[in-house]
Amino acid sequence: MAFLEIRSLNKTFGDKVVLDGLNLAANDGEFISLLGPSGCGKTTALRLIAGFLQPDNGSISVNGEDITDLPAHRRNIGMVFQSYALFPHMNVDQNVAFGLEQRRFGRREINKAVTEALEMVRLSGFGSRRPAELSGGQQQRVALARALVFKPRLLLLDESLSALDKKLRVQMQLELRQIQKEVGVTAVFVTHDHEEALTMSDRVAVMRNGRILQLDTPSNVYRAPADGFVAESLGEANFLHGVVKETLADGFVLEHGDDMRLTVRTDRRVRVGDNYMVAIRPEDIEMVPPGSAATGVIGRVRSVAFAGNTTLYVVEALGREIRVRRPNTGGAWNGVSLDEEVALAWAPSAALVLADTQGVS
Amino acid sequence: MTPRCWQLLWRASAFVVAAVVLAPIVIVVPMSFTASSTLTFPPEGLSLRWYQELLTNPDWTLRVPVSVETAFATAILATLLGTLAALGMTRGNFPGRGLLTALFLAPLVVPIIDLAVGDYFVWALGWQVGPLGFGGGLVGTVPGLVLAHTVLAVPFPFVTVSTALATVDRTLELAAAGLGANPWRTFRRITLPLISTGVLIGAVFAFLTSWDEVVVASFLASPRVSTVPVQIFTELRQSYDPAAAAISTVLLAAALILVGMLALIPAFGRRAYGRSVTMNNQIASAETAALTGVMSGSGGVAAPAN
Repeated sequence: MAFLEIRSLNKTFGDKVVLDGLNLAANDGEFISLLGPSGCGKTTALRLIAGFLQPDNGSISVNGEDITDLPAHRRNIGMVFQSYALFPHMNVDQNVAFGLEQRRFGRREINKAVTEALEMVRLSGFGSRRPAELSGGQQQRVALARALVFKPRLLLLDESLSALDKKLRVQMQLELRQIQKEVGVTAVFVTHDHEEALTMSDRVAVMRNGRILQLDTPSNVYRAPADGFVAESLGEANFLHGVVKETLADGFVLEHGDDMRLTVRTDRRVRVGDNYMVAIRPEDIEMVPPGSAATGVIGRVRSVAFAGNTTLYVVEALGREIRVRRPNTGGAWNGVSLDEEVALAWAPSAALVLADTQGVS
Repeated sequence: MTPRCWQLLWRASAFVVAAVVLAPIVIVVPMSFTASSTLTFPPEGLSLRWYQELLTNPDWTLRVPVSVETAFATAILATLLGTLAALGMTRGNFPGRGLLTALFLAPLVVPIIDLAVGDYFVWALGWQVGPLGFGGGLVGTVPGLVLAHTVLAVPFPFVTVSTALATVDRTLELAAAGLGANPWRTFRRITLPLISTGVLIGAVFAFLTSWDEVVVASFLASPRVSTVPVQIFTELRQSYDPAAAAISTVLLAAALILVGMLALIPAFGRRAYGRSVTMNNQIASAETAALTGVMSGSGGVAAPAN
């Protein structure tokens, strides 16, 4: 049995269904991300786990104990808010000590635990500062220390890094994950940033319309998305919608648009006439001299955008615009210029065959 | 005219208006130091005999404790009720909140004489609805005065605490709950400290509302139990007793000291909350709300002396 088990959780606000039978199971010590666009229900899910909201039905249990009807203050769950929610009238020590005071620890124990918690987040010596006197990253660390100091059975993080600037965010991602591993606490992290979710998590849950579409390891959700929405949630991709025209021994021919055909290599068993969608990530596409590509896809470079470590090319091919992203590490065909004719090539496994879903371009 | 002339003109007219408003109050102060036995302006001679009179004449020595007791009890009761009402209105979510809010503010707009007449009948004769009764025998008692003044004073803490509550981030309360604090401790440790400025300002203005109230008090006072402002009014109608000017000066000083203390709060707030912009905004807005509100209630300090 999983450490955190959420079973068919429903929540509506008025006539708006926010969570529609959410199921989630996390193992002890696991770091799970809930990834999705705003309004997908990820923050509501977190607030239900924390006990700030009551579900219409469904159940939440932690370590075998059903906590669905337990009020928030008796759940023993640590939470880091997006705005950190540090108490402005208390200094750092008092903020961190708050959870321990509620549990009626002795003064000496509290002081010891607070010192250790601040050491853990590398803020020793900041105890007497007010939250307003700290930088965003420091406030973030205080919030983390405050949420972990009373040894909660679960750690919840609500878009906790999104208020930081990018450089600090990347640093905090690593630091946060390292601390979580050290402490060994099970964590549920809500984010709308797919890179963050992929970098930090043991498993990523991609959410849409109050449901989890796929829950899997970062490489699996990225490399084998359940559908087009998941594929798009985890980074840019070129999507081709079409109908199976002909099956081959090791794949099929997809007809998309007006008489445009693409041969796809896949293990998936398909039938002629089925609707499918093929997604190819921009970084999986290579540009080679015309005529030398096995895919036989020829196109013309329509725009070139330098983006530091990569360059984004837009190539007109297959009757549409195909995005190609190449690392800027040199190489024969990376220096293509505008209006040049190129052939597009990709490994057979790079073309992801997905069930056709609505709402993905 | 040049812009500079206009500026001078505006400034001059501002001073004239201020002088007209303040003159009656300012006149009371020198008059209270007169050596003559009736009120005159300018004062004849200089003496503290009327202040001595305040300490010896039972007409005054019996009134001061009544006024002080009433004002303190009113401040405590009105602040308690006003704070609870503000919590209910800002944190609760139920139909009819707008109407209730209007009712809490009603004492500011209802003609005070209506309240006084209503209070008088209910306090004197009691009010019987079926088996439930209220009032009767309350005229000429401190509890009677306190109840009537509380009705007048509740809007001040209600407004200042509501303003303060509106600036408290609800996630702080959620965070406290998440850390294991039950609702009462969340209020005690998080919400109350953050709205304390609003509560304090509300309490001061509730105190002042009772301290200088004369209309309702004169209805509910008896010859034995009465307040200082009522006594001033009575004295002046019978004789031009300079002791009335002396006690008015004391009331004025008390009000000035209390309001002056409020002016010190922003400095206290800055020290307590670091550079937090929200906190200073909260204090500023709470103060503004309180001061706007009190304009309708104050000014009565010196009025009876005219």
